[in-house]
Parts: sequence; structure tokens; C-alpha cells
Amino acid sequence: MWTWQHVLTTIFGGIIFPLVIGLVWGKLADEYKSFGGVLAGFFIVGTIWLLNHGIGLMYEPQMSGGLPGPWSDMALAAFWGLFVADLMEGKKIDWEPVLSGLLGGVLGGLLLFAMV
Amino acid sequence: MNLRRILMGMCTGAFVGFGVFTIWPSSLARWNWLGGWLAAGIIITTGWLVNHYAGSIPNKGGGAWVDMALSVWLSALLGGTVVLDPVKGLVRGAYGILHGANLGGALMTIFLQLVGATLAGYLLYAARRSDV
Repeated sequence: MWTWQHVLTTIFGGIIFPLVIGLVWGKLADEYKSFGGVLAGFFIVGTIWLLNHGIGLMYEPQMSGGLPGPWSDMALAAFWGLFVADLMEGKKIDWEPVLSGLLGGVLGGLLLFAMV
Repeated sequence: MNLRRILMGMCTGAFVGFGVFTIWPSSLARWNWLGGWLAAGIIITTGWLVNHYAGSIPNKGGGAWVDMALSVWLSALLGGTVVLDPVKGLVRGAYGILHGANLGGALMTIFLQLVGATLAGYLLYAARRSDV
């Protein structure tokens, strides 16, 4: 069951992930090029994953029960936060990457569905 | 619209989506929380190198940034997760919409994630505006 505590922790999880990516990832990539992405993978995504899904800031009650799922990953917050920040800045929606991302998700989902 | 670029982005997006939800749960099952931390460096890094460093997802300067995270999120939502368990072998971790899992159960989480992300988007926008 959802309580106000879960609401608070889930929203905070949604804030912290895109915020840290937006603040740090670009700087790491500027300074260290491809190696910056390696550092970002471990120290941004890895560390925030421990908080959001490892410890469980983001509450996912649908994961208990006989048919656990569907899983809503913290990746949604990463995509949406960065996307919205650019939209607020006045950038336009470019449908080429949007379509790539959506179709990639559909194909990835099919592959995961096909396993096991 | 360049169909070949979209097709390439689709393949590499599926690569990171599939990779995250097989490697991550497996690494977690094997090495506990440290495995979860390592999984991020293993698959997110490789996914980022292909999708964004090499630029397989066709983001251009003028458009709003579309992160590979979109593919990652949608992959698990649709297809669930797969675990290589140290004892039981390859087993299913979570079911997706394609298996008939009920989206309604995840809606509250999705909504609150979007609320948080929108707040973060505003903060990022405000921070960028203030340092020019």
C-alpha cells in the first residue's frame, strides 16, 4: 500500500537521478572524454541505483505477488528530467531520436519477453 | 527523418535495454548490492559509449535531448527482467506488459517518478540559465 512516506521517497528518487546526471555527466565527458562515461556509469548510475532500487527509494508495490511487474525503472526519470529541462529552455522535440528510443524499447522488450 | 538512423538507434537502444535487465538482475543475484553497483558500470557505460558517445541515437544540437534511458525504461516495462541465478540458472525476475502484467499496478510509481523528474528538469533549466 502507498503511504505518504512512499510518495515522498519516490518523488525524491525521481528528482535526484536526472539532476545528478544533468549536473555531472556532461562535465565528466568534457574532461575525460569516453573515460568520463565510464566514471559516470559507476559513480552516477551505480550509486544512485543503490539508493533508488537497491535500498528502494522508489516504491514499486506491483513487484510483490504472484505475477510481479511491470517494472518501472528509474531510467524513466533520467529520460524525462533531461528532456523537460531542454523543452523549458525552448528546444523543440526532435522525432528522430524519440522514435529511435521508443522502437529500441519495443525491440528490447520483445527480446526480454522471448528469453525464459 | 532518416530511416536508417532510426533503425540503428533502435538496435542500439534495444541492446542497452536488453543488457540492463539481464546483466543487472544477474549481477545483483550473484554479488548482492555490490553487484548492482558494478552492473551500472558494466552495461550503462557500454550503452552510453554506443548510444551517446558514438552517437547512435540521432540527437542533434537543436532538439530536446532524448536519452537511451527511454529505451531502458520501456524494455523492462514491456518485457520484464531475466535473472541468471547462481543456483537456479536462467529464471524470470519480473513480468512485463507483453506477459499480461497489469500496467495499473505501476501507474502510481510512474506518475511520481515523472513528478520528481519534472522538478529536476526545472532545477536543471534554472541552473543553466543562471550561469550564462
